[in-house]
Amino acid sequence: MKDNTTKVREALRAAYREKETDQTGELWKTRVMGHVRSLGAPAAPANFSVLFGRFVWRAAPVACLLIVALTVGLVNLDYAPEYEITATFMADPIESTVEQLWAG
Amino acid sequence: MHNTPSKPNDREIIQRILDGDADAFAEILTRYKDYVMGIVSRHVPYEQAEETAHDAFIRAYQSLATFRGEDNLRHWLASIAVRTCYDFWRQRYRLKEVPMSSLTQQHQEWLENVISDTSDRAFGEHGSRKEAREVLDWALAKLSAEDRMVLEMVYLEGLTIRQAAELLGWTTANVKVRSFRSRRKLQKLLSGPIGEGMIQ
Repeated sequence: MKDNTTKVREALRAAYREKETDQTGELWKTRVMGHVRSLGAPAAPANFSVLFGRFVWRAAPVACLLIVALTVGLVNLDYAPEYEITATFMADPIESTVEQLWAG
Repeated sequence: MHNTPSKPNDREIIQRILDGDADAFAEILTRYKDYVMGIVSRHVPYEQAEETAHDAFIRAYQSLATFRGEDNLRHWLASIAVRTCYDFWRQRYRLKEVPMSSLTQQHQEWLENVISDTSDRAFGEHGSRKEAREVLDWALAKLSAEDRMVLEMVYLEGLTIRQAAELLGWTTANVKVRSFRSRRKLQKLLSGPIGEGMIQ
């Protein structure tokens, strides 16, 4: 004997399957095709190279602006790395001591 | 001797459409309209089926470029149709357009008849089919769009969790959890009118 859940399930399944299925006619098809034609050709999916190209060109102006800004900033800071290295070398007390020892 | 031109296959038609021949889509419509309509009719109200099938085909047309040649067009269209139905219900629930009718004495009697029947009689013998459908619609209207779709596909249509997940584009874990919850909700809903514990 079936349990209550199975009975209800079978009854509901039968009711679900009995639902009317609409049949589409020519008018419906004409309407859909009219809509399709108004949309034009479907868009092709963009491949990786196209997407990469798009990204590069979009990022190019930002990259240029960044380069210009950094150049201007460095010029204004008067930054010269070779002077910094020389100054550090000259100020090094260990090197000075070695020089003094040799001189001595 | 004349060679009769063979009917183009789905892939050839799709290629023609992608090359700009929108009229070739009419052949896709002719081949699959009844199949898509069959799916849509099961999930949405009768009076909304044509419009929903229309939407499903427009979606299919717009996504044709994403269709991979090795896929089965029939299955691909089924997936689009099911997702269009799901979107239909999501919109309906969001706009609160789902009718919340209540069960009448006749509906309760129908439920009691089904449960108290000790024989293995067929569904049609339990009384009005109209009432059965109304009980089902009443219960489905109380569920969310997600639960409704899963319940219809797994519990009522008998699809496997995997098949339902593929059609809906969800994970199998998600469908499994929703299937369990929606079944529990349905049992609770139907137990209400006829007394707790009648449907376990």
